[in-house]
Amino acid sequence: MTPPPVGPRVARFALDRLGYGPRPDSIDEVLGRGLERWIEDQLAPAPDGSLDTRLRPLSSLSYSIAETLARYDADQRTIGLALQELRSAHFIRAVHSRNQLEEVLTDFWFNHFNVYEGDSPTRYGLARYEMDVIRPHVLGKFRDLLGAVANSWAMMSYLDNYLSSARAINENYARELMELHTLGVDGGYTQADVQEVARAFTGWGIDQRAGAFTFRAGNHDQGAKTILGQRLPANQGKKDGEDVLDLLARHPSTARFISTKLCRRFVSDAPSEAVVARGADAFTSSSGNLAEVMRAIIGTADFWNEAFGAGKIKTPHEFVVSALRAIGAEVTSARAFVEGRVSSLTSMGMPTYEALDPTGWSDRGTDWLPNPGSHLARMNFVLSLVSQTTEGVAVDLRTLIGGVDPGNAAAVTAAVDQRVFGGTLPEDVARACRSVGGTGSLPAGFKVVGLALASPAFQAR
Amino acid sequence: MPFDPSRRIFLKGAGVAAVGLGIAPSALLTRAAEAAGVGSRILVQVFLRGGVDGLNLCVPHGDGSYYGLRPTIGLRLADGVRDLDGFFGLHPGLAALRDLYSEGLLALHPTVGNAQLSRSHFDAQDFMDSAAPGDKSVHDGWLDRVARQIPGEDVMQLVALASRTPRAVLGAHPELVLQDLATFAVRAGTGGATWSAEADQLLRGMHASGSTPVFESGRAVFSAIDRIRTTPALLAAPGNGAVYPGGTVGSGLRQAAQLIKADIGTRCIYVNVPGSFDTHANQLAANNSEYPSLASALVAFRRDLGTRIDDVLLMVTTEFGRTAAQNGSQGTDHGFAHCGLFLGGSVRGGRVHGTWPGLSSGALNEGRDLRYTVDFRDVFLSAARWLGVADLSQVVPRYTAAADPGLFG
Repeated sequence: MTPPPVGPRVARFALDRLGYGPRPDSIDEVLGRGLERWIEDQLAPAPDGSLDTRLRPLSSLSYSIAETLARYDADQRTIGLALQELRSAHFIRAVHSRNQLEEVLTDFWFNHFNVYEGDSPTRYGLARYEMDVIRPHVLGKFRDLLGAVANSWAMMSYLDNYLSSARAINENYARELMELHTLGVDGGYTQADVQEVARAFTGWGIDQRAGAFTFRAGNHDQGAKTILGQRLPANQGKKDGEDVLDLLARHPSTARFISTKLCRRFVSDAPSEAVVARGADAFTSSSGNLAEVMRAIIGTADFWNEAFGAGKIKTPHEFVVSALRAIGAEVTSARAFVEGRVSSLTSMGMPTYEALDPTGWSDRGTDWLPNPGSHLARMNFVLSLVSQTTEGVAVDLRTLIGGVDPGNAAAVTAAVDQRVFGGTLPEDVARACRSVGGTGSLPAGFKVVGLALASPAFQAR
Repeated sequence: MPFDPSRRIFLKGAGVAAVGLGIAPSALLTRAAEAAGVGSRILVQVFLRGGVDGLNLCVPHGDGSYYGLRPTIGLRLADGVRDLDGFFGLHPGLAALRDLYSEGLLALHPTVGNAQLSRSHFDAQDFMDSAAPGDKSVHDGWLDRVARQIPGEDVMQLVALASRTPRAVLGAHPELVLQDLATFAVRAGTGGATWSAEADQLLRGMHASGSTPVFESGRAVFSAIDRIRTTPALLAAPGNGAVYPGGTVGSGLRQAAQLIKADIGTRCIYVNVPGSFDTHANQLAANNSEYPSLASALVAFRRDLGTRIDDVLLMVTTEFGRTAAQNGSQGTDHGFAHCGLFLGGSVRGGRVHGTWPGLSSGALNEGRDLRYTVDFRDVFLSAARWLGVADLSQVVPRYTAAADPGLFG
């Protein structure tokens, strides 16, 4: 690794890139632990007991798909309650987890293998998909992640593979498997390959009674197949699909495609050829070990040079979570918080779990701004946070501003600069912040926080 | 309404004159147009995302192959298909459009497409928005290139009603992207601790200079806030008793009509409509849930605009059609030609346009999809020409236009 001299600016950058930005004490924690050790901690997540305690009241998170079906299938409208708990957990984890990289990667890989919550029966498997299919593998082997997804209720349902059989092929999953999950659209496959892969996956589906993935041998096309020039012999059954996953997971186009996407998330919208190649080489040489790919990308000069650039524009999700972390927010009533938050994320264009298409949300910062509508929604969200008008969130700004008098705009501005921006708050923003007085019961210092978070400086990470 | 070239020349002249007078060209254009007793022409593109199945939208009930390809999802007149011309009929959920068709305001073209449109949603949508299929080096949008040829550089000339910026409006011309005109303002604090005006002023200052996209976007926010605040007509209730349905398409078309009726120089409007159009499974249910709101939104839009419909051309587009045959899941997979809908006073309406390639196995593309007979780029060019764009070669790059499809003019 080639870390630059480590100070608050670099610590803040690491927190912004490998996590959802600093909480009030995070910059001090990274500097105290040492940057390299903090990164190694992030690459090897340890148990987080206080997070588990926060999640315990969300009882539906532990239900199997069968239990979820049994409890909610009688009245489809009530599944919304379980989905609210899942959304709550998604935000509680992002805001509070010590394993920030694990949270960012869970979000990244969910989006890479996107499924849509509005789709039924997909939605009954959504919690298990995020918690059991995606999360355990985000720093493990890509082949394991790919296999878990292919063997999941949610994906087999969302991309209709459960409806595909030898007599009636549905090629939806086969196409997206190559275009979106592995090779990339220009990764070198043809329409004929799509049809052959679809044949290989016939019989892969779900058992709606048992609430589980299942392979139905009777629906499988037992003939031989040829995929990307490789022949799969006849009568292999479910092994056909597993062979296809093996083939795709070790294909050079996949190494490149996955590295490009990770570099786009963690380095920049237009990553250099050099950093993409480093990630792809690590993918190939480690047989798809995703922690090694991350380590390779973090070890490049490209990654650290970004600390001194204009930054990458945050997605709405990143913006909202980073604002909650910056002000040291405590998510008190998960449901109230999420219901309010859903509407603000909708007006920012990114309602959680509602990316309709298998493509997921765009990972290019420039796709999210400039757009006056969503930009205004971002400003209004943080302004409502500091006015304590966001339901379900306890905002104690005294945590952020430490022992400083909340009526002293200049002192609060200095505290926000240090603890949220790592000393990079632009002078014109600082000047505007220092200029405000209190309004009614709202102290000047709270307004300072709102203005700093609504400023251009907080839109990028 | 026949195209009047003299009007176009007059409006262009007004734009040039405005530069010398130091008056916002769009405002002068609008005033000039009002003085002449006509409004400027306005193009509205509605994009239904997901790949809408044209064969169950504009149903070829007279094609003998149709019911063989779709034994269980094929729609019959007895199912409520509204006949249009003895061969085609409208999906039952779109029956409300039959009156617009009879009135001569609505036309359909069931075979719009392009040889290079991808079967990938993402690529095909991108290729349509850029009007450069197969060419990933073109990053700006076709509506942006249209707007660049309209005199003036005002953000209200090019508006997208969408939560995220669609590629169609990306490029050198400023655009306004929003979901809701009515709530577009900085809001800070509540009750006695409200400080919205102060927050507005301070945030405005922070975005005043700076050249990265964040600053540019911030300036666009405040410019749009000012324009909306000073134009009460933008929040006018629908006219002529029009009632819009809820949902994205209803709110999009309601606001498109508000922009048109406010006469603030808006010339290009893009309405983004995500929905359950990617009907790989259980297509009948998905179409039945989406189409009634689409139809009632179009009917309300026409009613709301009254005679202003003469100045408007609305095109409903999607990235591709779907396979001619149903799949094993009571649905259809990604296909080729799609069906376009066209509404407006200049539309050669009351007709299903184009030549019908047929659905026999020999007639299908790759043995699976309805062929296209008109390139979508020729439709876009025709719309740009109708709008008064002078240099059509800028609208669709590196393309030799075929004959005008004759959908409007």
